Amino acid sequence: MDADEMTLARLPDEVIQDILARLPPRTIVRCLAVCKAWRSAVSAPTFHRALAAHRQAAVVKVTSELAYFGKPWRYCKALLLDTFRGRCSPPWRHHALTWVVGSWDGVVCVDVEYTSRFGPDLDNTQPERREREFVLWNPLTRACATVPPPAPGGDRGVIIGAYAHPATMRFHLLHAAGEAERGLFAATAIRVRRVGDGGAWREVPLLEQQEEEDGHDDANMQLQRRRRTIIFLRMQASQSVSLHGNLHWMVQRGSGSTARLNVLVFDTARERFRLMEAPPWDDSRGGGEGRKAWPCRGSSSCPASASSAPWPSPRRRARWRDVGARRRRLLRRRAGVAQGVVDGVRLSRFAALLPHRDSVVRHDVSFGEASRLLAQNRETLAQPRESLTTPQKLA
Amino acid sequence: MAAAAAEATIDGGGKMIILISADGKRFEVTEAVASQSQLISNMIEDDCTENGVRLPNVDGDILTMVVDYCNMHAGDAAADGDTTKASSTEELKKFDAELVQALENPVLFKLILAANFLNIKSLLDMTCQRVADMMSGKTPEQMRETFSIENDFTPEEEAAIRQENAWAFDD
Repeated sequence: MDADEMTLARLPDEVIQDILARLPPRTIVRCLAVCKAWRSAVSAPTFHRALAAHRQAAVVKVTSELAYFGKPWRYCKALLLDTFRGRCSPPWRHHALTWVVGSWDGVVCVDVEYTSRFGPDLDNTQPERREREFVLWNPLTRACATVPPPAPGGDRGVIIGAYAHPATMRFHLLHAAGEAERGLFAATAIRVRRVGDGGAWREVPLLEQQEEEDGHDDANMQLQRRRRTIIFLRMQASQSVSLHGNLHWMVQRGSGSTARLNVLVFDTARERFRLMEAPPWDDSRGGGEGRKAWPCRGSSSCPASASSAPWPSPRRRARWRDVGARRRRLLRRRAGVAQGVVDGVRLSRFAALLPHRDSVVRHDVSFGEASRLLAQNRETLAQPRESLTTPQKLA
Repeated sequence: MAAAAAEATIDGGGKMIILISADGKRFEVTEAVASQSQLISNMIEDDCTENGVRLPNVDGDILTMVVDYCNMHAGDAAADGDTTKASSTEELKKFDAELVQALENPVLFKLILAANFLNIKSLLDMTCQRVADMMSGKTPEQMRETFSIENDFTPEEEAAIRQENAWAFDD
């Protein structure tokens, strides 16, 4: 073969994929438009495996920044998303309480509460205004969207999970309304919302017929009673674990001596809840309400459609580990993030872990028409910063 | 196990293997050098290297580069814990960088092809990374130009891809 004839196109597919997988995300997407061969190389499932070999998981550290404007004091608080250097500006220059709920399928969800006042208002000129919304941000596509809570104003509910719909890849949020009680959250209603399309929150029945499947050894009476009991989620109930397109939470049903621990499963394709038996654990370490077991994402051997006896083998059971508070916090954000990346980063409630690998694979996660592109702040070229556009309705 | 390992280090340096390129050039290398190629390493294990290893996919000039590379890197695997190694690591890196930087595109691709065929992971890694570095940050037009790729999309198809992925195309 002649030297002039040798082109990139003549390399084997797997080598092309290996080369493309080394590129930064934006360049990978640009490769889609180069030629048909590259488009199919980037779209192939094997490409995602090649990517996994090259991509490191990343940590998004979210911090906040205060600035003062004139007198009376006004506060501007921005969210700084390190690693990706993103920035969220509040809709008006007042105090905003921010809390990173978590990240799912490559999207960071931040709960933002705006108040018109911060600290003691000495002049006492204005009544306090409060507004709350959920800011969603995809660091890879730089798309952002905001979603109001189901009941604006006095809403005290929490986001318990989110997911990209397995078929449509549209992003959905799960919200629980209820009361906080002794470190747990008693969920009374769970709502789901498809982001975009001017969608509304829809209530999903917490449990339907699943009780019968689950309570094979229980008497009818008990079933009846349990059906009425409330599901307790952990406070800050974002501790969901995604597996096989399902979201899982550790929940407590009932309270006092009749309390039972279960795993609540949400089937994202069918939008249905069901319960699984929680794995047995060692109660000698304290037990009680402060349960410490938490599913690791590594438990991928857990069958997707298990409705009964999902923990048959000791091996599988061993994957449910007793974890300390710090570790649990890590798992809550997103289990399966490489520990090496996490080490040395002090996590607070303002930190979220975002698996970069996933966000690359899932660049098709969409917010629909609610999606807005982030305007890039060109002030510092060396470290480009991105700003979340301010929500239209409040601007 | 231990005995086998000891034996390997003894004749690792001694036994010679002959590599024959597509255009008939012959290269004599030690077994330690040749076995950096997973392909040849497997052949050595299967004892089928006696009459020389024919490499019909690899030209003489490319094989020269591959053999040079393997000679330079033969120390890597053999001399673990050697104190002189630390100083040579820098040199090795420099050698690698110069090797790939100087290459014309067609030669680079041929080298990739050879590394892929011979299954020399470190060489493949280095050369693929070089190509990736050349692509990084380029627009589709620039990539087509750099690598002489023909645009086989219709204007409509290309516009659709750009629209779907607008975030990657705005500068």
